[in-house]
Amino acid sequence: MASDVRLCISAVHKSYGRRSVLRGVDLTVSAGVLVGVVGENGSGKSTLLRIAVGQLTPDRGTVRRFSALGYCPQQAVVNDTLTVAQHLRLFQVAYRLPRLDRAWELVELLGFGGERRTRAGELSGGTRQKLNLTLALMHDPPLLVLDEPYQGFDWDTHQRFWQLAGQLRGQGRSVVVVSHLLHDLKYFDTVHHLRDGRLHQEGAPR
Amino acid sequence: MRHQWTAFAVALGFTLTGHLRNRLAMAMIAFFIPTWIYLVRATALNKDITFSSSALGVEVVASMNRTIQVSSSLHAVTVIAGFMMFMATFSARDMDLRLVLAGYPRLQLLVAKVVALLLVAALLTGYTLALLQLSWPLAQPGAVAAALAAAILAYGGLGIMAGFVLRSELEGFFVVVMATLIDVGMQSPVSNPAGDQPWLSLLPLYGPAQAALVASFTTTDSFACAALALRWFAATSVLALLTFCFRTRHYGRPITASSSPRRLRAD
Repeated sequence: MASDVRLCISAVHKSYGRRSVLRGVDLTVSAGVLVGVVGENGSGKSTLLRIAVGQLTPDRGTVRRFSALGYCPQQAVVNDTLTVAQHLRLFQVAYRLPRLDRAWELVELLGFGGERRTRAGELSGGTRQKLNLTLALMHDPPLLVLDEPYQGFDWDTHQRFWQLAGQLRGQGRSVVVVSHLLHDLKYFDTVHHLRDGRLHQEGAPR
Repeated sequence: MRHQWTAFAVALGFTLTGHLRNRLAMAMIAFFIPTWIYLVRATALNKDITFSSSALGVEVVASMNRTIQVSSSLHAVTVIAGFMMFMATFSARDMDLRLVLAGYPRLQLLVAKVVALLLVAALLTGYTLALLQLSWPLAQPGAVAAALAAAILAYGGLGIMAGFVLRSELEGFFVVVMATLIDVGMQSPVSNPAGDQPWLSLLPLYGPAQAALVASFTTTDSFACAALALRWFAATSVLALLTFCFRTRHYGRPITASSSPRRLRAD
């Protein structure tokens, strides 16, 4: 196994009842790459990512992770009764971070610094998604697994997200992003199309 | 060790914050309990009834009005405790799973919920006891408080468990309301005068209801009887912990590059 591999998924199968979603998926993610996973609705992209981060177990196959990771689920997973600052405090404990400098930097970068005392239940859909993304990035992990992280973002924030993803790749982070937007494909180093339960690598789009 | 304490303290603080921000529960505590007790006091018949406590083996003669006030208080606090604990657990459930995936210790998250329940039980008990004392001087206020607290813990534990198991807020609300309705009805000497069915003792309120009724009007020792509900509290807390651990059984802390790779599953 090459030393710069961060994630290695081999022959992963997953079914929900009789419905087979993943039928032998292979994916290797190295350091310093921006990997896109695309596919039709319901093709199993989110299932694959949940298996990749360890939230779901595959029926067959192996998943090996070689670094800490940050996971941004497709739907914002936040607690409506807690404020933005309280979310950061909880995840500071989870990630064992001594300080929250990086987290607040991300909050400012994504443009919701004015909402630090606002409860998640009172945030707009786009801002909830920004918080969702911040919780995945705030510990600056070597591997990022992001499931359509920019849903509800305005165009400026959407652009800032891709700038950030590019910076992280430049710093040697590995970033896996599920996307279904054609105009996003140009940002990826490699694009993997999930079709009929398998990943098909398509050439770098740029 | 210090990290474990921090994890517990932070989780406890935010669990209590969640309870305080449950506006419906706070409104129910402020208005529902006193209103219900007041309405019963103002409208229920004030004649004496005789009922026997199968758990304590005593016969009690008491005012029907006051008996219904005790049963209504038990109903109010168990609905509120069950609802509060269900909502807090249910609304934080997905986030708790995400926190565990990110490395938050499971035990601290769940123990914080149980300790928050203990604190809520203490406050709710003191408040309800004071409201009952305004109606008449209870024979054993301490024993009535113990019975109220035990009832709150039993239904609070059920609420936490339901929060991990049920799928929607409506399901949880109905389960709490219907369970307490049946339980209180079966334990009340007004709606179930015989009160000698053998299966009654299986219900969560069996011990607290009999202890509260006997301690409100007599000097019979009823603490052990109230404590019967702690079996429900213990069982539901353990089941909640097991459910949470089962759901997150394969979550592992991310490994470092220098460690050997973690194999999630290989058939």
